[in-house]
Amino acid sequence: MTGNIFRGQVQNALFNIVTTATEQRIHLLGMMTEAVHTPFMSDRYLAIENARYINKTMKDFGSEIEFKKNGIIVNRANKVLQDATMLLDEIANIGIFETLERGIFAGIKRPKDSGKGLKGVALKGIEYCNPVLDRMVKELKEAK
Amino acid sequence: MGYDMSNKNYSKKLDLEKLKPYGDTMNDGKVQISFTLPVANDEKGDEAAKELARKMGIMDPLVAESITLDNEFTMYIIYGSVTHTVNYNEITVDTVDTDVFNKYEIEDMIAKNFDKNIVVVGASTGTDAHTVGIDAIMNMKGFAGHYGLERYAGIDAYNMGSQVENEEMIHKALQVNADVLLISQTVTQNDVHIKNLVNMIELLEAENLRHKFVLIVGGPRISYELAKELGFDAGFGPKKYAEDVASFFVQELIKKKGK
Repeated sequence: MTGNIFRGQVQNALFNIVTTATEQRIHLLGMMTEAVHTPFMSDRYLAIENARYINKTMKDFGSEIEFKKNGIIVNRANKVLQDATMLLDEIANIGIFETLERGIFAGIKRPKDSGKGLKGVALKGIEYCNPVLDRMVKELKEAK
Repeated sequence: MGYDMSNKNYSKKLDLEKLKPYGDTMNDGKVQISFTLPVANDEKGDEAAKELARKMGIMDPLVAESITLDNEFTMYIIYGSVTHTVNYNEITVDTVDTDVFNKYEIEDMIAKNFDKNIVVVGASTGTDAHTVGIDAIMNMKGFAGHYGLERYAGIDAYNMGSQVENEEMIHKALQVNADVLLISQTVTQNDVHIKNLVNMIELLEAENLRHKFVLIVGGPRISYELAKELGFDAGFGPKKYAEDVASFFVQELIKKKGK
């Protein structure tokens, strides 16, 4: 997002179409003001409304589409899947912190000995309960 | 609605001394604004939004939409005409006056003028938890199609992230033998960023380190004028990208080398 909220809405819509058409279950919504300010409450609303609108109106759009055999989209999807599998293997071998330190994610290095450390991180208590997360996990399990 | 064909007495002439927004005719002053009020979506809320628009200097405000975000929150989209004008001719802006080059020209300049990489340490300092500013300049993917410093050949970029103390940043700068310090101040309250920036200069001067670094500050509320006043080498406000910042420090370092 760039601060151009009008373009941001369009970008969100395009991403929403892809997510709906390919039946993906986890989708991070773009926040229109995020490049300028902590997102306004109205941006959160508009982004959710946009996603809902497209998810409803284009619900069965994906089932009508066939991708060209060996076309750019199919090949790209295969490559991304292959790369992701290889990356996960690599991460499983060296661990997540080493991965961050080496700059394997998007080439950006985050050294172990800098940043905020464990400040602000707390152990979950025995009584800990997060109804939002519980519901999300439940929904994801049902979707499988 | 349709077109209004009646004759009106608007002056359609551009007057730079009384500059106004352009909706669809010269000097109509038309603007569209949106904001949220923490009240219910009803007639009273609409009237409150209009009243607020009038206080902003907007004549004949029209609430085109009032959208319920929640029982107690309503977003308003308002159209109207601004009554204020500005004198464009009297406006002066102080900006960085060095030339701006693109990424490849900058990489060439570094290769031609320096035997080693330029080391840049950047951080969002003090209480500021926002990294959008420093990330836009430093991170590989950059911002709005302008690649960040991490992608530049000839530049070693260290992005320390947010809420970094001034002392911590100086420590890191000495450790990696930095040439350039980039300080970002994105969201600050009560001008705390000014205190923080002044503190950085004081620390550097107290340790006799000020001359060692090209010192640059950036953020939405930072102007070149303010930065110079506080003792920085340059300040970059909105709409400045990695190449603006890099163009400046590469030329500064070349000048420094010549001395």
